[in-house]
Amino acid sequence: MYALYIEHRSISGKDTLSWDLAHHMYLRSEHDKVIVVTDKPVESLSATRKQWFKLMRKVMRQRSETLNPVRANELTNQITYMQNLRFSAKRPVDDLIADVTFATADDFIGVAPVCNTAYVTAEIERAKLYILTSWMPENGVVVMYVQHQVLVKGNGKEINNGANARTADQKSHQAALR
Amino acid sequence: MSIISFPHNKPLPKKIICALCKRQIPMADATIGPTCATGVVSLFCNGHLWEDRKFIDELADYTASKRQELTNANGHNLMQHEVRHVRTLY
Repeated sequence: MYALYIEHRSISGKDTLSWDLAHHMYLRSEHDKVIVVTDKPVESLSATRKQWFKLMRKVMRQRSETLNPVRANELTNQITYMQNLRFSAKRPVDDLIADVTFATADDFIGVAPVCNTAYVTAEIERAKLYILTSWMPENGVVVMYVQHQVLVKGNGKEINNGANARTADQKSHQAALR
Repeated sequence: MSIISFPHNKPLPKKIICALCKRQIPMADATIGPTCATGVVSLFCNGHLWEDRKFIDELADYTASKRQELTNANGHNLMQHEVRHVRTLY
């Protein structure tokens, strides 16, 4: 990882991992492949995608409000990019087909992903991380999320891996946040 | 809080300046933004992420200005070049 930028991020109590992922992906705006290493690909994908679409609606609103033609044009490009971004939680076989791929570390190691940005949201061994990032081009970015404690907004209850969830949706959502 | 480590072939900058607000920020408040065409990664304040509307506008302006810089760099703006040398025959 000698030629890569590495960022260690931590999530504060009021924000969720999916929110931070969506915003950081928007900030990067890389028109290239992105991988997200996670323990629960499907749950993480659904939560992040939801945040992504929320952010897209905000971008649409900003475009409709602006009178600056250059900014409006740029926001139109951004919206097109956001609408066309493909998410996948399927295990990659030969190559990364989707723009944003969620998978476990072991799944990614079998592919050796070529991507500009990698988000590591689960704890993985250092040796696996080196293998994962070995095919990343120079100046690629690896964002590593350090252990965090997520709290439910508003009532301040701690999420207990779906133990305090009342519905199946809440349970999968809480599991994705962890 | 975020900690950024730079590649070994790129020295750590003495001052970290947010590309959006142009303020000097500590490393702990910085986050990695888009990579420009020259391969240089831009750094932003982490705090911009919370202000959605302002952040969206400022990022769009920043991207547009970077794109314009790239287009106009070294006189490579082909469209302007063509327009400048157009000849009208009557």
